[in-house]
Amino acid sequence: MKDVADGKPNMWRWLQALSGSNQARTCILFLPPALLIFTLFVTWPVVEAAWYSFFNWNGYGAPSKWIALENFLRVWNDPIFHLALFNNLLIVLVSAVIQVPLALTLALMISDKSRSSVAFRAIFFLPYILGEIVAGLIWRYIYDGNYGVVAVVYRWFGREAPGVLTTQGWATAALLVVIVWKYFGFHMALFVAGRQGVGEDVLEAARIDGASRWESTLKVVLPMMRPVVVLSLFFSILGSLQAFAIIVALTDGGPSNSTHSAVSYLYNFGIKRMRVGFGSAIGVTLFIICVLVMIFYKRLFMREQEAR
Amino acid sequence: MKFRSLLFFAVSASLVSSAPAQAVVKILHIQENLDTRAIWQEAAQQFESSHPGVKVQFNYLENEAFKAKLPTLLQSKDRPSCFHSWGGGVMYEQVNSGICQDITKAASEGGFKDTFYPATVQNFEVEGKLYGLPNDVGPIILWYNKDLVQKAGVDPSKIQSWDDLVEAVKKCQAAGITPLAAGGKDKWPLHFYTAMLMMRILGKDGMQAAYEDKNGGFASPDVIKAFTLFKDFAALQPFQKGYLGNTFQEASGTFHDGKTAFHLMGSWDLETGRRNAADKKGLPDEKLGWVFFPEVKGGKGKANDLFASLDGWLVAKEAPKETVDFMKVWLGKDIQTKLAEKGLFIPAVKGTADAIQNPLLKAVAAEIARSEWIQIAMDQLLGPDTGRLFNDVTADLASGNTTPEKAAKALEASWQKNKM
Repeated sequence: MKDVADGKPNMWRWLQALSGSNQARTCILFLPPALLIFTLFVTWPVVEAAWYSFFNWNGYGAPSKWIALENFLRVWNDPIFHLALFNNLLIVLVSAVIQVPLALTLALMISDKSRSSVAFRAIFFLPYILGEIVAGLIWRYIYDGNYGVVAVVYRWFGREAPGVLTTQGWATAALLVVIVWKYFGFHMALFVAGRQGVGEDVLEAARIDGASRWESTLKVVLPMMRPVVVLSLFFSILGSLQAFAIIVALTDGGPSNSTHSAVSYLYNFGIKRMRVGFGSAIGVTLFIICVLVMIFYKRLFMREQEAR
Repeated sequence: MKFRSLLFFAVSASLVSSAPAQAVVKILHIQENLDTRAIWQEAAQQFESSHPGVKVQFNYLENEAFKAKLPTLLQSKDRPSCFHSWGGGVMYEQVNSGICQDITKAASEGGFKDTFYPATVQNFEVEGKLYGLPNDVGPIILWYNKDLVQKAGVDPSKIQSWDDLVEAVKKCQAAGITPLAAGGKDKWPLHFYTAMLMMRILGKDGMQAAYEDKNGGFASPDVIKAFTLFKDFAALQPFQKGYLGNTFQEASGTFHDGKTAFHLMGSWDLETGRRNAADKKGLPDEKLGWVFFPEVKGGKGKANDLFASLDGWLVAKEAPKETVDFMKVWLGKDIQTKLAEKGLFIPAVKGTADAIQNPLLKAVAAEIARSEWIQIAMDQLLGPDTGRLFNDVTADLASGNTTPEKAAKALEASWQKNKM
């Protein structure tokens, strides 16, 4: 027992002795675990996927049918993939044009500490807490043309509801509505935090200078919140690139594969159809797109921020 | 420190040595019905008590999740000993990759494999070797609601040709009754129409030729004709409103809620439909009837050429040898007779048809024993890739998003890539 009790300090001393004050030693000690985990779970799968993407392989046994770039050509020439990428772009656009301004407006309205504001913040944040599958299923019922909310509303006007989720175009619009509804609360929370970070002293100074509330919002608060807006847009792009579960639950890519995102396309055409090589080619393509987006984004926004 | 590591080794050593030397038969299934599972459990207990040291474990996965997870699962160390299979193209890929076990010898002992209907056993054979055993047969039939067809003035027994079905649809619509239920979101329920129209037009030899990519394969004029018939049929809007957004379960429930006159579905719909009905009871036997999918005039296929889901179990490589021993109990006549008695499904074991109490299922079972040709579902036969494409183009034909010519061309192009 005595030995066990002494164990901890002993070991700690041993660690200290090993690392010493030398920084290189610290590196040697602390880098391998992180490096190993990163290599094992990030780098290696990427390399592996890149390797598989050159084979016609169904996931069983070892890949053996080398087909060079054919998988990539098939992905790049597939109209469904183009549509999926277009949908990804739509999600980002709708987020930038509707979701973020909506969240920003709401955040400015309810960023104070009054009780009603806190209550509204909680309500607006609720959809974000819901699981994506749950949200997708709830909205499937809302959109249902026979007994859903949409059907009831149409019947008030004496009309029959369209099959929202089964008509091309409508289904995409419906999906975008759900995505805006689900995530505006998250963006709002970011903005509330950003708004609260704008010091009262600054606003007071503006007031003394004779700025109206509108003016101080437009010329003081918003510019100061710019980094948060940039971050918010960054999350929109990230969210769009990851959009999956909500699509699976709501439309599963249908009707006629018109509502896929790049990831749900990968799942449906790579994994479900047991075309691991093809799926890997989609994954690699997606990886390249992600890298490009990040480089572009960093150039465009982050550097500007650093310069400030 | 020394004491601690000694203790550690002592404890871990004792843990390892006390692990029981037990064979575990792990079965991965997609069975939702609790009654069925209860009878399976009974079989497991019976087997465990007569085979000490062997444990039988049933693990459930939902249908779609099962299909998606299986490839990874089968190649892991944690693979099941035995897993659900529909035969066909997916099975070929599994067998070719060497993850299945040849059980020809073990299953033939004592003539066990001959206790099943021959067509059902053949479904799990590849190049003369047996890799699994059949469980049940689910022929696709046209279920009808007696009250509603009567109201519409339709005599289902007179639906013998495709034109008769079109006529029946029109009569139902005139009487304000939704003719058919279909789970369009899942797509495979729709593929029954295109596949069976192909069967009725091409006949057994024609289907085989298409499969072998002869005479134009799946882009032949006959296939285009089948697709055209279906497209025109869907244009009549014979299905429940919003059917393209409904799953198979929802459509089954719709039919068993008494909202549509017909439902083209497997014999299992009797059980699944009732489970998915709003009142959990669905339509009673006396209100239900079934007919074969009609023939097409000038076609080579007959109405009693069966189109069926032939489900069974494949044995994985390195599965304990007790797996087949257990299958002999579990898929044996005694247990299967119990399942038949309850009307849970139509077992593949010969002679169990007599035990089926339900008159509707009994009649279906009698047809299986009589049938000359059982075609398995196209989305299984053609493998996961072309199979899903078959379902996709069918749904697109239904929604008017493709033409029969384009659909047939896409199918043939995919089959060119994937044919075995």
